[in-house]
Amino acid sequence: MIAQQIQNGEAWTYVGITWGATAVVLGGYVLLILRRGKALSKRVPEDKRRWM
Amino acid sequence: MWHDVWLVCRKDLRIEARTRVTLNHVAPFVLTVVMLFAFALDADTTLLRRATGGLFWVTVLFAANAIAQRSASVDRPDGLPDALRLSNLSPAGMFLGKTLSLFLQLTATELVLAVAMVLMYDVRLRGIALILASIPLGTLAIAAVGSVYGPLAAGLQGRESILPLLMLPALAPVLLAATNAFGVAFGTTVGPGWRWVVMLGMLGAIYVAAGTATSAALLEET
Amino acid sequence: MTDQTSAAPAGTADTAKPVAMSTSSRGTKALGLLTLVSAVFTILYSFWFSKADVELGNTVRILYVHVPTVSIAYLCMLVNAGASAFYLWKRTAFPDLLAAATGEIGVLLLGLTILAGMMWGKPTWGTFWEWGDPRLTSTLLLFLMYLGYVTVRNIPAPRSARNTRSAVIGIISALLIYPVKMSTEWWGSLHQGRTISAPGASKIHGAQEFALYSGFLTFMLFAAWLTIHRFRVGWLQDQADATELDAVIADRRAEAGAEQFGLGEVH
Repeated sequence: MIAQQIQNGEAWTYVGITWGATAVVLGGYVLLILRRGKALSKRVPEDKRRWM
Repeated sequence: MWHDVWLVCRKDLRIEARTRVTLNHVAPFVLTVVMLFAFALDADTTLLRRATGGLFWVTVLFAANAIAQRSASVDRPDGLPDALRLSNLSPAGMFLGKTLSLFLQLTATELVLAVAMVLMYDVRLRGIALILASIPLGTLAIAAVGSVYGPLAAGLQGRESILPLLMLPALAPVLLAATNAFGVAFGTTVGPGWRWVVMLGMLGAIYVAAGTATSAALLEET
Repeated sequence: MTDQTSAAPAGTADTAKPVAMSTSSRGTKALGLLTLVSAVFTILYSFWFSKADVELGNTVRILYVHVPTVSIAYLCMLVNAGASAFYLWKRTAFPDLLAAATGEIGVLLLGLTILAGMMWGKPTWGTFWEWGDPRLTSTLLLFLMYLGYVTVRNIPAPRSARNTRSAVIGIISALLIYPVKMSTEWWGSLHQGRTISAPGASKIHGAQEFALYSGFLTFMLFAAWLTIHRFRVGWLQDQADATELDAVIADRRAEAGAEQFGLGEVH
């Protein structure tokens, strides 16, 4: 019974790490991309900012 | 095109004959690696014998990296890339020629390696058919990858470190298949050895086809 | 999809809308909103509405990340392959930028797949890694191959050469997806590897099933959103490089022109 609970606790740690890391990595990438987009937009003349 | 293949291959082999880089640098390197593995595995003969297939192919991969690097760099001196572009040689022919030259140089290296391993790891040769089938097919696959990525990396900064990063993951399936074919041959693994040989053939075909198809594009740019 | 308006004709001063100061647009905002909504559902179903699996316990909740990320990563790689091939054929900017975006996003997702797989492995198998598991091993190989793709993409080089090289690497890597899967599966079966498996099709139902599918949807929408932004960033980068190069060339010409007329250095 206790072993089961310990195992359960262990499982939640790994579930937490997975979801946490996913959120952090993807969130971080999103921020990076958005920031780069803003910075680059300033360096490019208006009429050239979009592919279409 | 086949004329171009032979032309390019002969050119590379002539350069090698004159400079003897593979002979003087790679062959000793390969022997050194054989020794290093023995040290690393604590001269455990049983272990070495069991691991022979894997150690053989890993060493071949390291040697291939060096030879591919060298093969690409002979075409880099000033003016040469442009001269090759302007020549009437077909890009596919050039790629296949380089592959053939790499194949031959690698095979020569493997011969040295095989002899060294048989002698020093006390390998008992069995399953010769499987071994003799897997060596050329595996080597062809490795040579093709070297001929695509070698010139590609040669034009880049940090080329010495980028070539292994590109070549080795791409060759991992070859390593898996070849090692297992050897394993079955030596009796250290179970299973149908010939399906690994078929996989080697398939991999070789993919690499050669991909290299041929992209040769024109790469020649223009790099 | 764009907010771009044509340059205001002379005399109409400030009536034109300011053009995109970022990579966002109405389209991406809508897509982003959809993604967030889907994400909320995914999280709710993954943690609240679905129960721990009979066999796998709470570790099944890791699979709600692991399985979608690997599937969408494969999708990214296929798009990358198609775009790379199309680029080599037509040499236009769109396929190249699409390939760059999907390559990078695919690598990211593959990395997360591996992490999730390792996190699943420890409580289940007792180790973080299991060489016999084809999914982990093949994902690792593909991750390394596409890491090479992203690395080469980022090495400074003339644009056309960089794009061609990357396209070739992308195509070869994609061609290897199937052999890699096959060889790692054969190899895995030799070692009687324990494998990662989502709860079997017959067993998964109800809230678990919904969590999984909702995960697919969320990651797909998210990948699409990211791809559009990353695509635009790539476009902006190329435009910025070209603009700045033009400026440098113009400066140099002005200098040369001035020198020609003996005017000395022009600043």
